[in-house]
Amino acid sequence: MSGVELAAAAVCGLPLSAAVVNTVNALTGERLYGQVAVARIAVTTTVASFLISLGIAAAMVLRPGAREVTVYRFIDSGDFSVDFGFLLDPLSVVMMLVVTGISALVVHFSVNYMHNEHGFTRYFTVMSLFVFAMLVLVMADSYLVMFLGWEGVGVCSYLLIGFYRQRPASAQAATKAFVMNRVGDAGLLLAMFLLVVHTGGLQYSEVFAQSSSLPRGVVEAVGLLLLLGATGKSAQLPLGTWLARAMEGPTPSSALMHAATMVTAGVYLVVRSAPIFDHAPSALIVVGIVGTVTALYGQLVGYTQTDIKGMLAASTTAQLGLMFLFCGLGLYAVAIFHLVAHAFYKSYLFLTAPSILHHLHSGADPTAVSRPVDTARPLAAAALAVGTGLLAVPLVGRVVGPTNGYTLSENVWVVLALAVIAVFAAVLATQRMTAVAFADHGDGHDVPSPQARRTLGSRLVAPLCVLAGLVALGLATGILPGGLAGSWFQRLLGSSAAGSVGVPPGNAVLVALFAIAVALLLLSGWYGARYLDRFRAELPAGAGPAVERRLYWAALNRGYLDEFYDRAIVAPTRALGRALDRFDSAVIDRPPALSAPDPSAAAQEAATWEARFLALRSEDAAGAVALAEPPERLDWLGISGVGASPVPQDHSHGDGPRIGRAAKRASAWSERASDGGGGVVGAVADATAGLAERIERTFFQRAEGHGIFASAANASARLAERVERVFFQSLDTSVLKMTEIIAGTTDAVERIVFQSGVERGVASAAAGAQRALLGIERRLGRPSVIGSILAVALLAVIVGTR
Amino acid sequence: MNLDEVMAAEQVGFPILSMLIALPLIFCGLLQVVRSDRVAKVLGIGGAGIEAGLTVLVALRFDVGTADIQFVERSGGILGISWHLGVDGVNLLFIPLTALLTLLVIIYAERATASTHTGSARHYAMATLALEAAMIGAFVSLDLIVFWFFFVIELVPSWFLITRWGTGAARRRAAGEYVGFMGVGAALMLAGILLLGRSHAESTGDGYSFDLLALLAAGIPAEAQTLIFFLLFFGFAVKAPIFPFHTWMPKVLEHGPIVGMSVFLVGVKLATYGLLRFVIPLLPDAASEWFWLMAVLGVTGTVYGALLALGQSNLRRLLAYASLSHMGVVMLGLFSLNLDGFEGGLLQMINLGIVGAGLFFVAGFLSSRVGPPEVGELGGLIHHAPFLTGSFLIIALPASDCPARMGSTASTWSCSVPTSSTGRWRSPPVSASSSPPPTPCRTSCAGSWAPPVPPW
Repeated sequence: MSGVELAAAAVCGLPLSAAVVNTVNALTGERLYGQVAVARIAVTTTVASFLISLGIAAAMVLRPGAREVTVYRFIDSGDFSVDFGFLLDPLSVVMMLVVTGISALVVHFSVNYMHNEHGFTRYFTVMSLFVFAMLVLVMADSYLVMFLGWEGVGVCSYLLIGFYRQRPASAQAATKAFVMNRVGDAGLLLAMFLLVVHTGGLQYSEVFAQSSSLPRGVVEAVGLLLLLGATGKSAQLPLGTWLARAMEGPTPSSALMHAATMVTAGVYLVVRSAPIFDHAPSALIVVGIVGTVTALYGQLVGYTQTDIKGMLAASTTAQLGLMFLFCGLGLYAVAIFHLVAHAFYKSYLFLTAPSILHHLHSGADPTAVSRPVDTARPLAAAALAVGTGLLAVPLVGRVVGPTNGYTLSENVWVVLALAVIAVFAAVLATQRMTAVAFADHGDGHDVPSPQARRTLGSRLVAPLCVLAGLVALGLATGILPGGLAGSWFQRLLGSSAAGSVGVPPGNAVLVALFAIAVALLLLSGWYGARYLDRFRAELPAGAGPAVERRLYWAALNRGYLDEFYDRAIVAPTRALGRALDRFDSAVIDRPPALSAPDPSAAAQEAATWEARFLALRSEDAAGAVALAEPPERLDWLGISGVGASPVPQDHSHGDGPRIGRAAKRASAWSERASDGGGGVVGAVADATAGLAERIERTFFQRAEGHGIFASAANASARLAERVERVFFQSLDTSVLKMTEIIAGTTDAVERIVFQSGVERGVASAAAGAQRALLGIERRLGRPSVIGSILAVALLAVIVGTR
Repeated sequence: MNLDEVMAAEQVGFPILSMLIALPLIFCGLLQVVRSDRVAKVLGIGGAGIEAGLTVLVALRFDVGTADIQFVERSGGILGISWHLGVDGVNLLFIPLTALLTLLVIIYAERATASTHTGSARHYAMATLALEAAMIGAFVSLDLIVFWFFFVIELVPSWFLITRWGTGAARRRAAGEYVGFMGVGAALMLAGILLLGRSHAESTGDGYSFDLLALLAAGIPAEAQTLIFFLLFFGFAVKAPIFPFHTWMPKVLEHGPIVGMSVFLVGVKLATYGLLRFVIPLLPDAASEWFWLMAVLGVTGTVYGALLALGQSNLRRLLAYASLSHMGVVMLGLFSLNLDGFEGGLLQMINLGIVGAGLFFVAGFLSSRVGPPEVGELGGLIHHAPFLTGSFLIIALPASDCPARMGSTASTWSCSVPTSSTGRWRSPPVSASSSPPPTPCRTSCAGSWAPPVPPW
């Protein structure tokens, strides 16, 4: 095993081993070692993982070039094979550094934060598992292995959102996050299926090598499906609503997963798939549009939130939207740069959020008292004008004609214009948050108490200082936009993330436009924040313009997306499930009355298996009596459209009586159906019954009158009668006696056998066989059985006539 | 298709497969004779243990390097019926799986009834062992009539298990329904098998034969295939179950015994095994003619089962529908009619066997402690039974197709392969892979992590 392989395996393996060891400890009831050791193991492994990643990064800088590490053959089936392997290129190394670095800090931070929390071990186990899964995600060298990590982080996210299990809200939030992610995963899976079909493999190298030769439609479809997966994981619209509720988890885990690392997996996916998107320009535009709309949405929502985590979550959504926007423009390096910077400052914000709350305010609601508002309308309007002005550029461009240097498609300008507005909103929201959080709220509740100061030990502050330093570093290097063409970051990423579509390198006009826009926005954001305060919903009605107030309300409720999904998707799906349940029990099977459980009170009260068993056993007799009376059951025998509808095709066999029965049943069933509300099913049943009745009248009654059927039926009836008479008359007393003796012997034998130990075996076997026969007979009248028999019969006819 | 055989005598020196069938029956008899409950307990667990050990021996001695049928026993030959047993890659894994599940079920029953002296644990073990013998017999037999015999005889212990140890009030009805459905299915299947024998007699002139290898060698005339295909298919479809023949299953699983039958019903995929073993190889023309119908049924079942499962409140019923949903995926894999699809489907069968059995064990534990396991009322379970809940979560993940667990590889496989190789269907796998997940997820969420909540 070479050095690289060892290092790659260690980076992944260390967090995994921590998770395993801590799980074992948890399973033994934490008897092996205590909580201090649990935390220490988690922190040490993560830090070690980070250090090794640093080593790999250093090796990467010294000797550039991607390294592929194959661990073993994962799937090998015919032509299709996938290796479990890692791809270490600049992109994955940057991601590894982000993941392990932020994780190390957050895990260390958590030691203090989670102190004395119930579920301490569970928390650290899941965190270690998360680090492992996230590393698999970013290090994988194929879509399949990436998907393993993808789902792994999903599960960890589920576990951490639902960490506070005493709260129903967190369970619901966890489920919501998981299910919405699964919707996205379906897209990812489909993309993989398509890739398997068209390229025969899932290895990045294989897929990307063939991406240029694939049909355009396929590449576009793959791109869109990958985007669907990314929107789920990265909380983009339309799948983004889970992120706001994901804040139910412990704050450090939110910092790590729902701000810094996990949610950026979608961005990573898009950047990683750049060679595919290069050949799918339409899909790329959709990426940009999704990102822009989400950014706008996130900022608007973030502006109105009243709890600090809600603000941060909305801001995360918006920032991720901006990353998607960059991807959509083909500026993959900018997106990754933004990803790294965002990881630093957002995790910093999350980790300080509890400090701020703890230190300055008593609750999680930093709503300030309203302050005097400056009129800043002109500036806000100016920013909006810049945005709309950009919207007009393509029109202008079309009028002026193609200018030298502009290779952008027209759609890009739409995206760009929306982006400017989104950035404006971002500044706005940040300003407000800062202003509100640090404002003097009066009433003296902002004065830090000595107690609060004491609890803010060095442990809490140290990682914050480190993070602050990193933020400063990020800012320092980011003053020159690090991701733009020609910058050091671009060079570091090398070819793996260099897009070929989008802004031409060094387009001075564009850079200038961006700069002007940003400057304007910075200026106007501050005033805008104050201006928009007028519409806050908390103010009395009529205090501000109605349209803005409505917008404010909508944003406060996160655009009513949750409500929309509940009503438009969840409720109909559940209704469909219930409807199918009724369909299942009423049409395919018997009416619900019989399948409804009627457990006795005694059985329900009995706590244990044995007690229940005994209780039920004692009712056997009663149950048997109840089962023996069939009248109620007779009327559902074979009742359904399924049983009746094939009948018309059957009349060639002259099966008159059966048709009659079917008709009666069908009408009985239709009565039942119309009693129960009818609807379409009832109507169909009525129609079927009418048809069957008509058939009965036409064929059966005529047959009864003068047809062959009538005479045949009469003849057979007479024959049966005679046979029966003869048979009974010939039974003389001796036969009867013999029967009695045989019966007696059987009885005795049965009793002996029974006593000797079969207990009730033979008896119940006999009864069982009897009931089985009864059951079979009953079943023969069953719609599904009849249906299958008829189907077979028909088939036989078809085959025979062929 | 020409398959060579390796006789059991060459590999282990004794007829090990016959022994696998006979051993549970012998212990069944011993259990009947023995007086002491304690000895009976040891015998029950011991018998199942020895059986499991033997199956492991089969798996270990199995030579993976060859496609031959191994451990073959062949004797008799009355009316074309012969005692012909053998193991190859298709049925190898089912045998240890069956034995393992039997062992677990018996251990569970012994422990659950240890404190009472009803004697029921003994008979429970007997019925379970008999069931095991029938299952293993069906899995290893290469003669269709023998297979059919085991397929039918399995109903007897099942009947007792459901009626005597069922926990729901409607258990008799459920048992009746089970036997009735299976009876009709078996009758159709018998007709199909007899037709197979007849076609052998017609094409070779050697008289009737029901031996799989002989039938394969002789081939079935294409015009006879469709009828036989559907006769056999109906038999297996009822057993599997495949939509729309599934209605017996939720009832049996809800009202049946807590662990025993349920584990086997969900865990041991006898019917889909039959499809893969007999129907597809023997009737390739019909299979390729009707593959689309099978795929439609599979996909319908997948979506239908998942939707129904979403609406269930009883955990056992819920799992029953989830199981129906999974069968659809297996069907899709099998009827892609290529090697990858078979492999994926087979893997999926085994995996879901383990997963489904695991889920039903947990459901059984819950059922025995709290009565009917209503999902909405199980909130906060993790406080009282952390390990149980954790296990449920871990087992539920493959059931919801999460990767890195065994289920996903298989289902990805059986879903992606049909798309790739036949190129005939594109959209069905979507629904297949996306619809089952919410189910177990919802269960474990609503059921374990929180105090009682109304299902979302």
